[in-house]
This record gives sequence, structure tokens and C-alpha cells, in this order.
Amino acid sequence: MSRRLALRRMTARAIASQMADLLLKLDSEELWTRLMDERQIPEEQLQEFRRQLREDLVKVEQKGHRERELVGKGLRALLDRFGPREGGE
Amino acid sequence: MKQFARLLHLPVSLRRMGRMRRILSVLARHGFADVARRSGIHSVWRGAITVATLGRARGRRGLTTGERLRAVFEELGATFIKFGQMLANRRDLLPESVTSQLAHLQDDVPPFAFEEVEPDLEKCWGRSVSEVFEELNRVPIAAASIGQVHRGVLKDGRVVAVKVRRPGIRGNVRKDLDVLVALARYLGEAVPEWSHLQLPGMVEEFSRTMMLEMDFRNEVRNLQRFGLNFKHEAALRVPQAIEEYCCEDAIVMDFVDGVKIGPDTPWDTLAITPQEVAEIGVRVMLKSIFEDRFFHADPHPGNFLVEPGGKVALLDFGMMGHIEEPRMAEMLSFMVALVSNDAQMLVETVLEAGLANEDVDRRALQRDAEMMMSIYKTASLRELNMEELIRQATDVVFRHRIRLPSDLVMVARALSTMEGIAQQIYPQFVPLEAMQPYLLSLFLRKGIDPTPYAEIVTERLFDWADLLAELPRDLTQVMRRLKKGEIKVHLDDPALEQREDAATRRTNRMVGAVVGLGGSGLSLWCLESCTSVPSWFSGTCLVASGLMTLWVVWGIVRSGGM
Repeated sequence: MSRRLALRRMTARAIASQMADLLLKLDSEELWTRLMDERQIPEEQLQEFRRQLREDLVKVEQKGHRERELVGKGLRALLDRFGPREGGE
Repeated sequence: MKQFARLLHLPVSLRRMGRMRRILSVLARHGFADVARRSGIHSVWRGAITVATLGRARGRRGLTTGERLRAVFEELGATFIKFGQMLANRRDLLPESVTSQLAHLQDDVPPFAFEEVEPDLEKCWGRSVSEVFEELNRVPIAAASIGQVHRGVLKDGRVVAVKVRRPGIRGNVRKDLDVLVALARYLGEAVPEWSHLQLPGMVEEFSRTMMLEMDFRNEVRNLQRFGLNFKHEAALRVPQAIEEYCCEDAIVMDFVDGVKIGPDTPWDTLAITPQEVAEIGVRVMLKSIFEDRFFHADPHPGNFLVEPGGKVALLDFGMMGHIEEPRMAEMLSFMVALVSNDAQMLVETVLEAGLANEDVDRRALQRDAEMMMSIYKTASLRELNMEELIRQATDVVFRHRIRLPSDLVMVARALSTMEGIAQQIYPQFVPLEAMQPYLLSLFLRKGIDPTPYAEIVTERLFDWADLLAELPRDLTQVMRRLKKGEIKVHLDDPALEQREDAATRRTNRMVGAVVGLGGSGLSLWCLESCTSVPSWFSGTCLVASGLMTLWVVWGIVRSGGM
């Protein structure tokens, strides 16, 4: 696998993990109640959907956890090198 | 003459000409002479024209188009029967009166003697039949158009099913397919009213499927792939192929000793209830379609067996459906819209997937879809069935000339067949009650999964990074060329050219007006007062100036302005 492709996959996983993290934080009662009303889904079924979705999102979040850390480190290093320095020159 | 020239371009070799003539004559005999006549084929195929005259008489006997088409396919044999069975599912393209007739086509064929294929099999196995089998029943246990199945016992004691290909079938089918493809291409061009059927594409796809089904190595690969996808499904049995004895002409696999499912199944003797079988069938079908994207495209009751131990066995993996990943989202959306009674979602899916023509009347489509759904709005899932839903949806689709992708048609057929089987063996079972939550859950999960979106975002990010990396070098090059004056700007604007023409015309008219009026005045003055200028010259100048003035006035009047 080329370095570029590996880097691309790593970034994609990191972004997916970050998005999953965000979606897990957005998961709210209000959202599900609205969906239940819109689609007329029974409460029991809805809770099952919610459980499955959370499971999927947790999986994606965990799968790219390491990549997220690595990409974060890389970005921080870039910012340190090219970004504004403390104290300003 | 024109038609003859076009027919000469048909990629049908001389060997196929006889078959082509036969097909045309059968078509004509069953009252389809009008098709041959309108396409111009009859002017070349004299045999067909003679019979066409007889055919017209027969066509008037009160048979419907569907009935006559069914008779044509039955008379033309196995390939055409298969083609007719495929057309029976295209309710999006053909009227219900035709598809309902084609649905009755049966490929009932007599078995052939095992001895006819024995030499080919021995060549394939590299050994004689008696060296491979301890015993082999030469009387088949089942026969179909492509092959037949025998029961045997291998030397190591394993009981196996031996599926052998009908002798000569490949050549015959190939010949028919060549003619069918050539005819479809020709008729696709010659009969404009059939253009929406996209006959050439449809027949070419059918031809590919048939040729794949004809090669038993493909079925072995299907068996293996399907078996792997369901290795964790304890209730399902997928026969295992014994690879060393499989080749293009034969498949040797585990023998499934079970009973067929249907109204006469002796459920008391089995370790499984009809409800469980129905649930397993629907579960397997849903997983194979929507998760594995690789499914059994012909799940009729004859392909299901129940073993005494309680396992459900699935047979015959010759015809499988595949769904490409990008199509999956559309497919799910379509099915969810149907089972959730969501007309707007249905219409949006059809439009977004590009299935409708550009000139489709969106409002009428939305109205029809809403009308169709409103019938079911108040009904519970118990009162509905997938087949009826799909039938209603395809009626709307047919009215608006929307062409459904063949994989969606295959999915619809597989689901409604499975639903029919499930309801036949356990009438209380409501397949839609199982399908709706499954489809909705999968739709939500697929829709919310951030992985595909992240891949798209990453791709764009990398594209931008490439662009930014190249930008300084590209900019330096542009600046350098600008400084050297090497950059030329070429403007190609038709509007600009029009404006330029108008300006030239206006200037010409002004000059014409000045010269015309000035010349007329000068000529009049000369006629009156100049004695040194001959009067014929002044008169000619006056006429010329007058004509010029008239030309200018005519130009202004005609163009409505200067």
C-alpha cells in the first residue's frame, strides 16, 4: 500500500471516529421522539433502533480512536511549526 | 433496399440465418406480422411474409397480445421461455395484461439419458464414472431446462447430488442468444415506440445472465460465497460443493435429504414449525439482499427443502442477484418508502436516482404516488403484502415511463416470492411486519454511519491539499509568462460578435443616409442651376441617390430601428 493511500485511510478513519463521537453527543431524547412521531414507530422498536445505532457509532468511534490521536498529534505539530507563536513576534 | 442494407449489418452469421427465419416466421404466425412489417424485416425475409399473411388471420381469433406472445415463447423453446419469464417481472416496462400471461411460462422439459453426457463427465473427472462413484442412480431425481440432478454415492461413502448439464444446450442457447441480441438491436432502432424498453440493453443483460448460468463453475462459486455469508446461520443449510469433481458440465455437492415445502409438507414429522421456516426464509432473504448484496434470485418453493433435523436447505444457485454498493442506498430508500407509505420519499428517490426521464411530469408523478399510498394509509401491515405494494408501485412507474434498474426488479421479485412462500406455509405470518423494522433500522444505520461521509471528506481534503501544494509553482509560472508578455487572451463571445455586426450595420446606414440625401440634394441643384454638367448625368445621380436613401429607409423599417 502506498504511503499516500495509508495516510488517506488513516485520515478517513480519524474523521469518521470524530464524527461518530459528535453524533453520540448529539443523541438526545428529543431527536428520537421527533423520529417516533414522524415515522410512527412504536416506542419499543425505537429503543431497539437507538441501541443498534449507538452500538454502530461506538464501534466506528473506537475503530478510529488511535488514528484520531495520531492525526491530532500531527496537526498540533504543524500548528507549532507554522502557526502563531505565543507572545507574538 | 434500405432495410436490406440494415439487415446485412446484423451480426448474425450464416449459421444463425435459419434460426432467425424460424423466429420471424413464428412471430408472424402468432399475429406479430405488424411488427415485422413496420420494422421492414418482412421485405427481406420472404418466408416470413408468406406466413405473416396466415398469421394475420390467426391473430384475429380473439387472443390477446399477452397470450400470443406466450405462445411464441413456448414454441421457440428453452431460451425464449427463460426470456419470457424474465419479461414477466418487468411490470415497469410491459402492461399487466402481457406480464400476467408470461408469468405462466413453465420450462417443463423431459429428462435426457445419462449416457449422453457420460463421455464429457469422464473427460472432466479424468476417470470413469465407476471409478468416482460407488453407486450412481442414472434416473434423475429432477430435470430442468439447463440440466438435471442425479443421486450418487462417492467411493468414500459421501452421498452426493450430481448436477449435469443438458447435452448441446450451450450451443443451442448461444445460437438463440445471438439471434435475440441481433433482433433486439434491430427492433430497438426500427420501432421507435419501443425505445423506452431499451431492448438491446435488456437482451444483452439477459444473454450475460444465461451464459453465466450455463457455466456450472459459476454456480460453484455462488454456492461457496453464499455458504460463507451464512456460516453463522445454524438454521440454514447451503450444500457444499466437492470441488475436485466440479467443472463446466457438472457440479457434485452434498445431497440434501429433505422434504419440499408447500401445502402438503408433513410438518408433524419434522423438528421445525412452519412459522420458524417462514421466519428463517425471510431473515435469510433480507440479510442476503440488504447486507451481503448477493442473493438467491430464484427462491421458488422447489428450491427450499426442510431436513428432518429441522434445518432449512436452499438449493440451485445458478441465478444470483448482485447489488452494487452505490445502488444500495437508493434500493433501501425505495423499499423503506414503500413499506412506510411515504409517497414523497418514493418520488424523491426515483428522481434522485435518475430513473425518470427529464420530461417526466413531477407533479403528476407525486399525485399518482400519493394516491397509491393513500389507499394503504389506514391499512395495517397485516392487511398489506409486498407483492401488492410492488404491483401498485410498478403501475405508477409504468404510467410515467420510469425504467427501474434490473437489480431492483430482481429484489422485488425475490422478496415477493419469499413472502408468498412464507404465507403459504404459515398464513398467520405477516412478512411485512418482519421486513418493515428491519429495513427501517438498516436505513437509519446506513444513513447515520459516518464512515462513507468521512471517506468523501478525506478525498476532498486530499484534492485541496494537492491543489494548494501545486499553487505556488503554477502562480510563479503564470507571473513569469505575464512579465514576458507571452500570455494572449482569446475572447470567443458570440454576443460580442453580434454587437459588432449591429454597430457596422448602423454605421453603414448612417453613411448611406448622408450619401443618399447629400447626393439627391446636389443632383437636384445641378439639374436646376448647373449648365456645365449634362442633365443626363445629374438625372442618373439623382436616381442613384434616391435608391440609396430608399435602401437606408427600408433597412431601418425592417429592423425596427437604426
